[in-house]
Amino acid sequence: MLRKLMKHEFRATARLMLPLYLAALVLALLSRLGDLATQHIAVSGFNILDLLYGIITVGFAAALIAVPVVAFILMILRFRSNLLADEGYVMFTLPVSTHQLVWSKLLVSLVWFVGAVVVDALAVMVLAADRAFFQALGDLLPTILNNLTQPDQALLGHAVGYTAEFVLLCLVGCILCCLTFYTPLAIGHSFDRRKMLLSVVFFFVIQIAMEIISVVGANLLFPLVNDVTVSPALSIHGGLWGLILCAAVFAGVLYCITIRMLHRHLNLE
Amino acid sequence: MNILECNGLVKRFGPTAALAGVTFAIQPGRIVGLLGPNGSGKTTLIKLANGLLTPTAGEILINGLPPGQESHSLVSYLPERTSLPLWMTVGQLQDFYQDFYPDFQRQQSQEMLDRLELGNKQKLKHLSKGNREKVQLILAMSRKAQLYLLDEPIGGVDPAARDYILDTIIRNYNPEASVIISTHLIADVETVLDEVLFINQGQITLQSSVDQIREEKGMSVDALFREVYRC
Amino acid sequence: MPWEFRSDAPIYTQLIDQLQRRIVTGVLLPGERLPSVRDLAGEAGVNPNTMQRALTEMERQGLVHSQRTAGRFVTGDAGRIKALREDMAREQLRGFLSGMAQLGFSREEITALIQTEGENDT
Repeated sequence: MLRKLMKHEFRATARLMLPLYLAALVLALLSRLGDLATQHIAVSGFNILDLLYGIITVGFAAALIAVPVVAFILMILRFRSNLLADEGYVMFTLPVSTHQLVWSKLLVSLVWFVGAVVVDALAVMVLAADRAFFQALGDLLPTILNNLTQPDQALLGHAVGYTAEFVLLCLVGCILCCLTFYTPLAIGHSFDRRKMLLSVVFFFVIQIAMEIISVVGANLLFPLVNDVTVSPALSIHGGLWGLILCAAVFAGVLYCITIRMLHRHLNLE
Repeated sequence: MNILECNGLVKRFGPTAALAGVTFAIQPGRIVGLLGPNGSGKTTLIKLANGLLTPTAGEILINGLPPGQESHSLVSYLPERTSLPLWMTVGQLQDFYQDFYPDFQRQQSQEMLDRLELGNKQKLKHLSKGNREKVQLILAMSRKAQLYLLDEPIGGVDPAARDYILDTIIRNYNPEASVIISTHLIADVETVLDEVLFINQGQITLQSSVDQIREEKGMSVDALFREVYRC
Repeated sequence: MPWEFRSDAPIYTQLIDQLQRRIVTGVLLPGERLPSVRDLAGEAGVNPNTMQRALTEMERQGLVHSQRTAGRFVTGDAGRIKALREDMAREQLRGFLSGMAQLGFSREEITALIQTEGENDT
């Protein structure tokens, strides 16, 4: 059922995200072409091509910003409109669990976030990648391959480890980010009136609470780990895992609150 | 087994009790009218049966189960307000129902939608309010559910639409199932009901068969209702 | 012939009454196959269980009969329909007579009235 929920969630969000991704890439390509054109066609003074090029460049910059911003706003809007407004009548009477409803939203948002990063990176590459870039990439690849085939085991292990830990941290961070919005929305909408205002209030309450817990937690934990002496490489691993764990704990608590609010205190208008 | 059963069901919103200890049972194969004035607790009862609200006290059981994932697959619910996503097309909505409800009869719904001359490519947001309501009704009635919970299906519609709605309900519900129609427009639904539940101020005041009321009191349910509530 | 229901009598007895009327007046022909209970109920705007109850009663009266697979049919027995027609006429008459009696008409006056009304009509 989670698969079906995700399928329909993609259907609902792709109609906005895919054209936006495409627009960013097309605008990047046009900017690049414009760039080449202005380099090769001798122009003197103001003409229509300049204006067009200007518009495309501004459009490209806007699209570059819009891709992650829209993915972010859509994450919040979908949770609110699909679960906490009228559509909630349909969604909460489907033969699915509340867990599946929330996870479908989380995972689909995550996919769009990752997609936004990839699309923006691609767009910048389309715009900026010149011969030097590919040369640098060409030089880099053999080095990487070399390291992979004849590895300095310890170094490679750390490099792979850091990368994996960093990616994991980003993913857990994204989930936590979604939940810092889902939870206050779920709490705010359990009231009869001023649902949105209360959601905003609870957003800040949760932010402040997390801040306080982080500071207090850090002060309690640092003296404990300070005395342990490990190599710098290991301490970076420790730091990353610490962050992942923190994010996961916060996300877990917020997830439980969200589920409880949706399950026991749903209050659709 | 009762398809719907309430035992001492209480639902409070703050200090006010929307349902103040409701006990009744509905057997399979009945069309039941849940009749009461506005604010009597009809919608609260139906939301509780759908698990959209949690009881303050007492219990509500669907085929012996508390409302939840399992009961949702037995219940076809028509909410009071149109709650289908407006951006979806008629065809996508049918996909949606087919995906989540194994008892959804695609052919049956398609035939009814064709009769209304609604194309699968049409978006819900481009349909009139009346047609949106009909689409939602068609989807709900195209399921072979065990219990249909229809909240105010004929509220605020013209007589032609009312006839269409009642006709759609009668011709499409699963005969082994029960249908609960909540309304305050009793005269309009009276002839399609087997049984009525009068609800007022959060309490069930009468449960009886329609013909029993007519036989014993020599008056229609509508007339009895007006006499009881003087509204 | 539209389906209409009064509010002071059970719906199933009114359904029987209206179905009988359809048989007697030939809207439903002898031996004709009836629509399904559900379709009949939909057409009349009544509960299928109530329609079923009315049809079961009419089966008992010998006005319709069901064949297991083929469905339900109006009786082909012309005598039975004739008897029904006379029953219904007698019932009409009884209602009429009691109404006239309430107005204080004697049998002779009523007969005379019918005669003169009949002449005016033709």
